[in-house]
Amino acid sequence: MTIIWEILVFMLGLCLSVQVVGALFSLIDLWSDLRRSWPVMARTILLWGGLASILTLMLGPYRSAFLWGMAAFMFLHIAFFYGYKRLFIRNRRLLEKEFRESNT
Amino acid sequence: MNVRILGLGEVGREDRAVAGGKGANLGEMVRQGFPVPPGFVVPAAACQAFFQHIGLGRELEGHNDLAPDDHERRCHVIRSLIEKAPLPAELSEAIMTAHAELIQNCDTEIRCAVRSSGTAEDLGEASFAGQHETYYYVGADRLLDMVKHCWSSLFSLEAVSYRATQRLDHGDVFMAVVVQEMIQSEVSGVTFTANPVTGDREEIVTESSWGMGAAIVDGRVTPDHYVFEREGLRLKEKRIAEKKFMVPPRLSQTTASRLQEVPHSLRLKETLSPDQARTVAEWAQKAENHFGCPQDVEWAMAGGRFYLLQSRPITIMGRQNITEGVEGQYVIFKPLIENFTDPVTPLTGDVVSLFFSPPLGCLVRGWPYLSLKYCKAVLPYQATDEELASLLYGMDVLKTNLKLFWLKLPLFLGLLLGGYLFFGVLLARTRRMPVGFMDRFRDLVRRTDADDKAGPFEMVKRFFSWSRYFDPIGNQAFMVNLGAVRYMFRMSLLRQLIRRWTLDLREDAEALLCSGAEGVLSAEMGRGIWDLAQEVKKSPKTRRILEAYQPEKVLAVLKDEPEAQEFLAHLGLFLEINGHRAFKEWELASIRWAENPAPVLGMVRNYLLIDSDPVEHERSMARSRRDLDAEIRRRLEKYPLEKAFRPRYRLICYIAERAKYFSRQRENSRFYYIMGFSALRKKILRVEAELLAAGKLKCRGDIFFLHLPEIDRLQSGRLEWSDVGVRIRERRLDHIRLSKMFPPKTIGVTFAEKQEDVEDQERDGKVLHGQPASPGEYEGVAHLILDPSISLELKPGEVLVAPYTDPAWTPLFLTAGAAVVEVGSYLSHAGTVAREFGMPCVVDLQNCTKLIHSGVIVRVQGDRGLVRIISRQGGQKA
Repeated sequence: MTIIWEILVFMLGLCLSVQVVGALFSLIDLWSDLRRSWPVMARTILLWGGLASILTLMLGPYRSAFLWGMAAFMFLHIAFFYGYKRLFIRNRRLLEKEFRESNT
Repeated sequence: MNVRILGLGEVGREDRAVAGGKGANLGEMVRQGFPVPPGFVVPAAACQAFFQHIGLGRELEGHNDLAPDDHERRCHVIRSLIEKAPLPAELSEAIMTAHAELIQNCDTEIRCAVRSSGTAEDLGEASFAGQHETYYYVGADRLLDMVKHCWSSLFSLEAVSYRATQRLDHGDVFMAVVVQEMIQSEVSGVTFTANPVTGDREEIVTESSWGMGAAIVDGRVTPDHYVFEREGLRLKEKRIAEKKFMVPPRLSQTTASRLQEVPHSLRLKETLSPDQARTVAEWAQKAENHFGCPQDVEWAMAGGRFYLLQSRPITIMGRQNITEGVEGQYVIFKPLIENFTDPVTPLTGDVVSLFFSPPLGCLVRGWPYLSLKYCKAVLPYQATDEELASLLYGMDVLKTNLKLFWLKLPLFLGLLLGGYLFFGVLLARTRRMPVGFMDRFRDLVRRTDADDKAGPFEMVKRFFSWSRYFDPIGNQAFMVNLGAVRYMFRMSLLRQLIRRWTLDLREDAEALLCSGAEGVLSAEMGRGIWDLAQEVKKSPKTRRILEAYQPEKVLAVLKDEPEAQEFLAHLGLFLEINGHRAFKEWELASIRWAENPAPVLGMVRNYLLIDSDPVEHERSMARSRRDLDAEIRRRLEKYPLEKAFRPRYRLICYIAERAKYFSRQRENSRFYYIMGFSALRKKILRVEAELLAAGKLKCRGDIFFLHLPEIDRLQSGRLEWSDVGVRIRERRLDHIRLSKMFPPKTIGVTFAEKQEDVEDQERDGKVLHGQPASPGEYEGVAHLILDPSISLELKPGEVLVAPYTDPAWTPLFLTAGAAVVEVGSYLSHAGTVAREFGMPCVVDLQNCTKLIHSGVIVRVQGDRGLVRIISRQGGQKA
């Protein structure tokens, strides 16, 4: 049963990390409109950051699974970003390849 | 070198080895008494002798084993060798003598057409269509050079690659050259003795335009279109196009662009009288009778005389040919098809495929399709290919009874989780953003546009992807658009809750609840055009000018009118905000409103015709929303806890608010990312101007028929006009042929059409079935608008019948009583706007632009997706 709980908590960490990262991005996204948007920004960061912190404190024996979930997402997130950039380069190479093939 | 130049009448269809395919064909027509312009043939033997004379055989050794890049270089060397070597005196004298005889009886100096006529053109299955050059406006001074250019076109990249694939030896292929008097035609065109699109042998199709035929043959103009019934040559259909460009009969500068603008008075004028159109069809029939198979006939008219320039067998291109050579199984991607009613040009295709190439979706011949192979691997259903295709096409999504395939479920859920992890941050970032958070995209476009180092690839990366980690979300309009797809889930949920809790509420309840969002930029654009119309109403002179002149010409007249300056200032402000928009705005070749505001002026004129006020319309919609809100509350009162806490009502309001938010985000993000397409077009036009100045391109608009690697190579000098000219022509023609067709719903797989459709149509022939997009019932006069840049005048209350719509069509919805559209889905632009305006709308009604003619009375039943043709009286073909 423990392992199932650990998997579930790990998944929870993954999903919550998505929200925390999204909330932190509001600093960048709303910076140009800070005067009007700071309440939304503060509320979002406090909500998701606070929830993650509270869960970390409350989860006791499952804390590490939760934190691993959050860390795993951070890794995936960065990997996705660079992977996505590679996709563009790959698509450009494909165009070049198709052109060369059509001329042989 | 003893070579005899042959008169056209001296060769016949058996002389292909001597005169080439084209020469033999023309000779045969001269012998049979067809009115072919006079001319002569420089036989293939002359080419062979010249190649021996310059020692070309040595140059060709080992050519078959070269690497692709070496091919380009080698072809360039061979072509230069042929073009620079002088012709032997005996041969050049013979050609010039024949030319002198050709022109001796003419009072005015005549120009010639110099046409390649390959001897390998009919070797088995090798067609060599369009791979060899033809030159027009050739005088005596350039004749010998142009003959050599025709010979050198045997070594264009296309021709060499094609021979390689056909395993033909480069040393065995020679070319005859036909030199003919160039008919300085007032009208010219092409006639097909069978419909080239449908393959119907009972129809004869003629396309004609002003000036020389090159404009039609090269696909640079939309011609007038005539369809005759073979039996009795009765005119069956006639469509007069707006002919903006022509290749004029006389041209002095050889390097200038051949295209000229057609005078405004001629643009919408019919090119052929009924008698002329019949004469053309009769000659085409005679050609078919002689050659024994359907013919594609090029003709010209000059000084009241008819000339037949060429006759060749038709390459019929029905729907099956669209999919020819396409491997795999695909289903059309309906939500996107309204952006791709015409297939995209090659350049747009490249740009789109840079950011739109996940394994699930791809462009097939310029249209968006879903790959059944990948969908099948992912979707957890136990289904045949046909059932899955039907599901993906969306005809039976709600009725589907496909069985779940439990073993595939973990994979499906895993992919959903992966999707969430990939897009989750994007979804979180766009969940609650203030109105106008994407305004910064305009600055991004301005900065990138000013950056000379940013090429097309860099621009695509900046505008359509998440290219920098710390980029604010406002700079990622296209990604925001992807995230806003949540709108449809909210709408679907809202529909189900309303149906469950408030039975028999009005059909458009959820659409009405989600309408009226503030800050929707396409709606503001519509209001902007309305404001411009109000500005015009203040000045009677401006109004008279707008009503008197065609939109294409009106701007020039307004500029000279002092009273119109105020209006022009407002127009300038409007274009500053909305100038990046266009009809078919995903297409890079589409001219933007900032470049030519004629479509905006047409819409302003359209608004002058109607009295209804959009503000009043918005007020009335707001009243309807309030009434609906009260009705929902009243009906929910019977449920427990509803009077005290109103949980169901609150839930409905929350979901409606979210649907409204994401719907606005979807519209606004599109407004901005289209700005990216517009900036990209500007950049590409700058590159084109450089290439035109360097002589590497000949006509404006050609660049859109090149691929990105070809543009790179033209810029770096690795390719020249001689390498790309034929490709551009072929792609233009292919694009035109495909644009006349409807993309097949599926490729490599079929599924059954809804039986009821067929039955109803067979029973009385008056009921057309499409897909419901906006509920309600409306009866009115149909008005077919194929191209809003030509015809924009929709009278109040008319039923708009259109091939597609996009945000640029929005103002027409204010005038229309209902809308019927050939493509699209519930979520497409037509449906969304029609629901916003509270009018019935039917989408995905294939061929509605052919089946419903302007002037007929139709009843549109939006909730059932039906269009009934009530009366055909008074109807006229558009």
